[in-house]
Amino acid sequence: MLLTPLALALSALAVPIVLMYVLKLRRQEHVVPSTFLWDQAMEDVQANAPWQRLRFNILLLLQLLALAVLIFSLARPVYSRSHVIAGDLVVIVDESYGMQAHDVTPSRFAVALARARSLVSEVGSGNVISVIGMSAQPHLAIAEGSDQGAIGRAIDSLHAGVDQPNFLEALSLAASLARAGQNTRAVVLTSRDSGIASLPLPVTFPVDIVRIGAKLRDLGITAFSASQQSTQVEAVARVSNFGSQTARSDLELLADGHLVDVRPLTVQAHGEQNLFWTSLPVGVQQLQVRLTHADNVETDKSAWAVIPAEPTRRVLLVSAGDFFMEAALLDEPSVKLTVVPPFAYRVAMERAYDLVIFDGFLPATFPAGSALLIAPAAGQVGSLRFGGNLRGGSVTEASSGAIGSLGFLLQYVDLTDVHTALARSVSLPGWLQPLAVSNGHAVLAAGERPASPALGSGTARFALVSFDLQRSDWPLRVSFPIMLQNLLHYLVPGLTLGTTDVTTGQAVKFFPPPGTRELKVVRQDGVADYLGPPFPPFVDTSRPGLYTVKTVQATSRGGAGSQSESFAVNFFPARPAPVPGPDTLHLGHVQAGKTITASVPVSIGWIFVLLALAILGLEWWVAFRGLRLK
Amino acid sequence: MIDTMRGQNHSAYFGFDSAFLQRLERLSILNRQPLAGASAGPRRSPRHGASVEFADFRTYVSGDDFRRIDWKAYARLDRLFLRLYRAEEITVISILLDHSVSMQFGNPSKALTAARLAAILSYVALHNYDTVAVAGWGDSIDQYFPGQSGKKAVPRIWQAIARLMEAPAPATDFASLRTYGKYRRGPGIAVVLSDFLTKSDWRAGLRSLRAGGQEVAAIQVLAPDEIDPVLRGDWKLVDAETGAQTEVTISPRVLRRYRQALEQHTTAITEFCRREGISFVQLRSDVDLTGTVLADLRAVAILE
Repeated sequence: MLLTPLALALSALAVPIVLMYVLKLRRQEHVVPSTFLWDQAMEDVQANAPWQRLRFNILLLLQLLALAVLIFSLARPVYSRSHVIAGDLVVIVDESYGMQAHDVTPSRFAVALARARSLVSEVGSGNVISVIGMSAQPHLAIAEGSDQGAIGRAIDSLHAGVDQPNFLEALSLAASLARAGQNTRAVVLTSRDSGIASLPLPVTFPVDIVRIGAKLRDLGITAFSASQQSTQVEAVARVSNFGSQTARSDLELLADGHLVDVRPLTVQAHGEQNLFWTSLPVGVQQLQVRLTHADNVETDKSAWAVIPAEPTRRVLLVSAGDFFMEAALLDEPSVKLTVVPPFAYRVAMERAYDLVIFDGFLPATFPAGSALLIAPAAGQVGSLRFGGNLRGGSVTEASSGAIGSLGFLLQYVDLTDVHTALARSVSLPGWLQPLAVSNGHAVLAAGERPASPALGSGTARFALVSFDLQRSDWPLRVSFPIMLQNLLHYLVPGLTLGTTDVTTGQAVKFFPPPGTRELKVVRQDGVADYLGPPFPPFVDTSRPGLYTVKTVQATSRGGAGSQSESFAVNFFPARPAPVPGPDTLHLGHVQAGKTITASVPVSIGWIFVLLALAILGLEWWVAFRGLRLK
Repeated sequence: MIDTMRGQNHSAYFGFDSAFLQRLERLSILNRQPLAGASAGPRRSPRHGASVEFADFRTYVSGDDFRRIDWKAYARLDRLFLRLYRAEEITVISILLDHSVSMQFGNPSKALTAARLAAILSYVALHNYDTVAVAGWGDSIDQYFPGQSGKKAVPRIWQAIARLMEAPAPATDFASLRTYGKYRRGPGIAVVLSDFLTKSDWRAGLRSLRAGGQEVAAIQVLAPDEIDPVLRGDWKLVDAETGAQTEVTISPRVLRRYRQALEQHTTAITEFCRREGISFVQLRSDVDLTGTVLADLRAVAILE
């Protein structure tokens, strides 16, 4: 078929070419001594008539042939391809874990990409193509493109991950790309067991769902967790068989990298099996279970668990002797307590401790780290100035407006039955927030000291109890050890995580201690990410495995300069049983099994341009290289 | 066109210096067969004469010159024998110079080169006491300078050669050589100088000279452009003598065919001359006449 048949009118150009062979060339004269030898060399030279008889000439033939081919290419020859898509096309490629299965060669995802390229190549000119990568958060690889090269590169940029497909969002995104009157059609390339066939999908345009996959063999770990009890560590795992045949494998359990147990498994088709471990030794920090038998899926063969450990808090108590305080501190298992009398206290001691508690003693300067001041003597330290003793009374919580963001310090603390005889008068600076008052005076306060030359660029937490514990009934109340524990967690927080068990794609929130300049998150494969203040949630949890987060302090203070914690990122697949049916499902306004087809012209003019050039090259060679073809 | 040499030094006109002329004086025109000349000279003659070169004996017959009887043989053999001596005669060298329009081409022109060759040959001949005659020919023998002898004739002969160059003949026709017998009869050496680029029957022309008793030497002078043309592309070639036009598209293929035609033409002349006992040499018009050309002429037995 020719798109521009009018170009054939250029065939009239053959007339002047033939005329040039009929009419003789007007040549410039040149006088020579004799034409005797030239006459012998040019036997076929004609007489001087203005025209000559048209004879067979290979050059003329080649020139006419080149002209014909060239004119034919200008007429834009095309051929029609059948079974092609008419209208715009939105290709949705499933990037979820289900596409990583190797039950088809080379993999479901590779087959999907090949199908996508094939679909794109069949779209006619004038229509646009969009490509959507469908994972938990579908994304647009290319929107309304018509450049085959750019579309191909967009398809190549897709990759299969380990999260769940979000069909609703992907189709919603496709619907937003549909142009009115352009017969937009979507093709979803997904896995056979993705569950899309059973979803109620609200489609407003034709959607073809191409389900890729064959007979799957997949035995995967679908749950794993561990916890520390008083004397032992317990763990539980669940293994599911997503295949249609009974699967067998060994399940290995590793504790801190060492193999501690192997369980042989036999799981029926579409069945599952739970496994328990109840006597794992205390002190184990990391557990891993793994299936030894390989099948069509690789990503669900391992799972990890981290057993959270309480941080150690090194506390220096500067006191002449306070039974209640020492007993309360020793009751906290994370505390390593050191008691020194005031006369033995040296400022240099602070560097070896996370917290210094001054009981009945007012230091000359604030320590560089966290500090708790109890019943200080009259005097001044920093911006804190203590006066004489005031008459006490009932201790009550300060107003919620005054407590501000430190309300968690009073969690589970009941002060209604607490009384004090005396309390030291104190004028609180702005950074210190009152938590409790007695007789109108602040007796309990906490806050973060602002940066100072001693603190460097960081801050230090500080708390104040302005009355003497021994001259109050607070040590006898339940609220005292609770409050002390709250203060310890506030003053020596350590590195805490929002959670220690994370699923792929889930964000993790870190709570670094004061003075942390940076957090370094190291993946199992060694890749590191860095987080700075204000320490946003860590979101790059796309790969299952053990992750380690370390703090980098603004100032190095003894052994407390860096802390680290681990957390496990697991992928537990939820693979629905495949719904039987055809490979391709048709939704929307299209009848099942019917494919929109149209004739799309595919240009082949370039072939004839190349052919014309080849013929002209042959003509030149014949003319100037002396090939005698007559 | 060659300017007149009137008022010029003859040697300078042809580009010869005294050293070159001294070299020429050691040469002579070679005749392959003894010639029967009209007067005594330094060349051998087929006729027996009175020179000092002994030839043969024969029996005395009545009327023979008594002075040639070998008395010593008579004393030994008691029979009268006559001593015969080879006659030494003067040879006439005819220089037939093609001065047609086609000879005016080339750089230097073929006409100038042919004239210088004629001057060399005439000088050699006159120095050896031969007689030199010069004929200018084209479509006919239009100028003839009778034989001159002796070294004193060199200026006159050279002037005659120069005048031939001043008046080109309109065309080349070897048939005109048939009429040379009207100007010069008897044996001699005829040297034909031409470019041989003609459709006329050059074979018949050379044969006619042979038939007239001449020992013939042929020298073909071609311009470098004729041996290796520099023209390329589309041209209408006009024959300078006949006015005939030939349209050519000079491509490498046509050039090959031209060179083949030239080679065939040269081969035809060479073969013909070999069969007829004619000395033949082809020279370029830019040949060094004072250098290797003398060796070339000796190689083909024109000079010795």
